[in-house]
Amino acid sequence: MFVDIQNLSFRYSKKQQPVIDRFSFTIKKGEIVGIVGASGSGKSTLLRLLAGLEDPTAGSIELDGRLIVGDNTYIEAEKRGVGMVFQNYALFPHLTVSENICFGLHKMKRPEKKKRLDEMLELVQLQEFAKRYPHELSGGQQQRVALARALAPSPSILLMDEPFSNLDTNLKSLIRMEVRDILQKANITCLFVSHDQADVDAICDRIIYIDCATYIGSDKESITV
Amino acid sequence: MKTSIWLREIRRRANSWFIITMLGALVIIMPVAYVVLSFFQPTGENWEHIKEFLLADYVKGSVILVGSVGFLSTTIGLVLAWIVAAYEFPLRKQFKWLLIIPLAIPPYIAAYTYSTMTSYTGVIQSLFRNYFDYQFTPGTIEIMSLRGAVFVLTLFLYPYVYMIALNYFEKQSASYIESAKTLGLNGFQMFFRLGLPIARPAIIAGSMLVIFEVLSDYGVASFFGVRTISTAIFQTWFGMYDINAAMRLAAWLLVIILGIFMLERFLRKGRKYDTNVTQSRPLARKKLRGWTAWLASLSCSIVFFSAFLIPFVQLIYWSLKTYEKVWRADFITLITNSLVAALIGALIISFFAILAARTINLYPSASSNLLARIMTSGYAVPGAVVAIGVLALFITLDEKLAFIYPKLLDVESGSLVLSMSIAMLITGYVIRFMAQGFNSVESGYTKVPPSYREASFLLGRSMTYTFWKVEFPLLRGSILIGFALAFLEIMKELPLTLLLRPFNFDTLATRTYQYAIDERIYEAAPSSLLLICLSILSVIIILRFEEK
Repeated sequence: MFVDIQNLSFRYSKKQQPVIDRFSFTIKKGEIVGIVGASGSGKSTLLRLLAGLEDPTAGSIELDGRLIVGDNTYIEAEKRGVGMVFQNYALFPHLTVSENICFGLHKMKRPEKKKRLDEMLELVQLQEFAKRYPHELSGGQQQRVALARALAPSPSILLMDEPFSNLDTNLKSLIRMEVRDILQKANITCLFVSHDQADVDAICDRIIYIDCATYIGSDKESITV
Repeated sequence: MKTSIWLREIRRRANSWFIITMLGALVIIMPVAYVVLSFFQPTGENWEHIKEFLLADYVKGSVILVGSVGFLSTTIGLVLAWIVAAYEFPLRKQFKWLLIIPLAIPPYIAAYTYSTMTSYTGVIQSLFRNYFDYQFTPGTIEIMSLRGAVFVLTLFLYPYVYMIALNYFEKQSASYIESAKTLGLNGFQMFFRLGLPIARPAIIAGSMLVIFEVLSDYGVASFFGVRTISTAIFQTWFGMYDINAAMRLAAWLLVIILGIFMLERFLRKGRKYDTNVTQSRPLARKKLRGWTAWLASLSCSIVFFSAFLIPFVQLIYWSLKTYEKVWRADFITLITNSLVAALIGALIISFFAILAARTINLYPSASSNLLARIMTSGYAVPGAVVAIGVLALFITLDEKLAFIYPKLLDVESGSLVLSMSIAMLITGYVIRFMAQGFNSVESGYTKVPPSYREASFLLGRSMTYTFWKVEFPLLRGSILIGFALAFLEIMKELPLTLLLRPFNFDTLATRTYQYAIDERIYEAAPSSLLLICLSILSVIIILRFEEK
């Protein structure tokens, strides 16, 4: 299995109920998996645990055959090789589009970096916007920059946290298609979180439903909430 | 949670950022802890003498001064803030920032300026005698003793209340005021029934600042001969050379401050307003017409003239008379001393402020709240108390390190190294004014969402790189404001500098004070003026960046 999560548990404070409770599931290489659940069901937390932004209270995560979280192991976020598109995109406001995209390419030499930047700009169709700052772009363009930035260092998996929630309804369907095309072209394993069934229907190969941290089922097993 | 997971967490968080922050917090808390510990030490006969004959007077003096100045400057600051925030009148925009400028004049300079101006030979009485042939009865207008201290401290500390209240009225109250208008309240009703009650947190915060400044004051009270606990600490130290008794006084002052904190808690209890109204928008000001408009301008002018322009012009006049006499080679040394001490102090403050604010932002928890409390505790501790704690600590350190000095440095065994160095003074500054730097950086962090940092980590960047390339550029303004605030306070600081400076180390502040208590008022003017100009510069930097 490409991603193997076993008995993962998490809570924000000792006083609270666990947000995620002994959760296990797996993803195959190249799969685009959608997670659907109501707000507060722990789906964003799951992404943050996978990314290394939160620490689980128990359980283990393996990524591409490597143990990244276990009882005695914790690989820091910056060493996991995980890409993430944030709900608010988190584009650095003081950097241009190309500077944002190149931010994670520090291991590359200059010509290589330039080549990768051009590839990314082409992939998301933003060649003319390279010198702009994030606030000079539309919501959909910002989202594509965020996607390009996350994909540029060739992460082993891409995590997307409600990437369409900030977009106008009439733009949404168009941008969903775009994102699906980009993901297919990039040929990447992707875990995608949304509260909107239509988002995951349009993009994902497989859908998982979670509710308050416990796995309910996938569509293949035809269990719905 | 399993033990192995606990250990995993500890290993992760114990990085160099965290360790340095903790060291900084330790340095801040040590001297204060030292003072508190003096409660458990035996005292000599000096303390018995102080306790029996003097303590009651000192406490009474401090209480009267704190009470009157606290009430008056809060009133002035609050009324001015309301006028500027809620009404439109001639020169409102200029007054908005002109009314902050008095902050640049250290109160002890204002004290000697005003007391000289209002004396028999001063400009006011001579003017009336020579041109209007009018003689004041002695004692009518002279600014002296307790009355003088209250007048001066009120006039030069009100900006603390003004700034906080103005910010509050401008940003927070629009929706309340608009709804009050629709309910038919007039101007005065609006102020008393709405402005006052809703601004209560801001009023308390502002007057707390004033109270701490008054308790910390040494220059004004000693110039006017008012007995307070702070002046008593000086007298015990320099008059009786009894550091233990001084320490005991300092510990009692800390008890009073603790009492004030508890009072503050009590006053705020049950009055938790949500100050974070999400749709905060500027208040639509009401345009004043006719005499009311002029009245508003006039009130602002009176305060600005008395709290800045009149003493400032007087100082210029005196400086013109004496600068040739005073301007000696060592004047340059004074300026360099002041600048270097303030720059180093402010730099160290900014450094630890960034570290602490970042740690708190990165790992929000109960213990990081405690860290924030410790970092900011210095602003409430009077300069004399900080000084005495730092001195005691440094002397102890010197005793403990005495064996190593002859090996490392070219000194005889048994000599004092740390407690004779400028490091002691700088440590005092850092403890006392850390809050200025920290609060500014911390509020800056509220504008940097955590997802920026997280995105950078996920792109494979280290913590340090993330700080320099992502957080720092976005925090620059806040860091600069914190730096300028700390710089301003250090430049002005008198009691700490007097107590902790190395032998023969004079700054603009100490020289000014020296001239003033030697009754060489005119000679004190040039250094005062320089000090004020440098302070104004920092105030302008602060205002410019706050506008952004």
